Amino acid sequence: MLTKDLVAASSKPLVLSILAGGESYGYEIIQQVRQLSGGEIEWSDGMLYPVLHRLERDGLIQSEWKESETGRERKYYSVTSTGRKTLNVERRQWLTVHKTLCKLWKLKLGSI
Amino acid sequence: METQTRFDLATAIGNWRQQLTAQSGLTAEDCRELETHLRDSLADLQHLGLGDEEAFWLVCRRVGPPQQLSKEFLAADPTKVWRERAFWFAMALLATQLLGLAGQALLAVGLRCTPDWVAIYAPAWWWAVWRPRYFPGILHILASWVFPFLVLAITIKRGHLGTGSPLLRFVTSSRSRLVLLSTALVLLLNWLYYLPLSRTQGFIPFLSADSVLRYLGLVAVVAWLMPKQVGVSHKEAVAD
Repeated sequence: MLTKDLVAASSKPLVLSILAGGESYGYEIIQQVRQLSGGEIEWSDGMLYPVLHRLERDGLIQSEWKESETGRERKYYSVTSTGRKTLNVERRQWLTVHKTLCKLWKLKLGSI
Repeated sequence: METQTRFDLATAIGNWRQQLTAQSGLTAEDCRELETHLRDSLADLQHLGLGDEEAFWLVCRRVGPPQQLSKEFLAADPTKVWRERAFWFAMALLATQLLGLAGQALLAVGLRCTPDWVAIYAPAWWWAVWRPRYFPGILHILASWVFPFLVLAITIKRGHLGTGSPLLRFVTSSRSRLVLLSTALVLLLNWLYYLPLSRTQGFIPFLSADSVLRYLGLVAVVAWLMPKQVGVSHKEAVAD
């Protein structure tokens, strides 16, 4: 399990990366993160929404209430063009950290 | 004899929602979003075979206590709640202003007098109001100040302006609808207000520019402060 600080720091690139793949809603984002990380990244359900709202306020994502296929209305989030640019910057920074750590630990990229 | 209370999911969700809406750090939209999350989680757990009660308590634990949620939401955006409160304040102000204008317009049409005529007869001092020649002026004051608050109070008392009110839902379903309806109402009431003037003085009723601009300014403020969704009933919001 990740530390609280790392969970908080990684929430922005994770949310932006998921939304870059298509619009989604809170519950689905949490499920996706849980599944992709093999249960290593556990976001508390209530924690995600303040993150989403902050990203929306910063103009990185936008939201819209829409009716889902089940007929239930949900608030769907999608990434904005500013959000995509920010995601590119985030990606470079996280990869730099990743590469540096791999070199230090003498690991091959993607071998973990 | 042992008595067993049957768990009712709808009641449990209703109680949870009440606790949520009582939190000062959560807006109506936040509560609605959290409720859709709760229902999504519930549906998944029920699909896995959990009973209503077990699934509900598990989801509540995952989502966290309302007080904690309120703190987290407030920390993320401390101004959001105040923006929503400012919207409702501006909305109430707009409603009273429009009702006041409606009262004045009805009075002007009913008395067949121009607004100027009413203004001349408005008493300058409160102790002079009992003189008969001031009666139209008194009516004018009642129509402008008492009538709007009375109508608003009765409407709220009868529950027609709650969060699930069809009227409120219709007006606030979109920002453009709110602006169009309010603007149309402002123009119509202004036209009615100046209608007697045109009859006595023989010119086409015009709209008082400063009056119209004042009301439209308020409409613009309300539209600007309007949250994404207001006045949506929970029944509709979560219908499966």
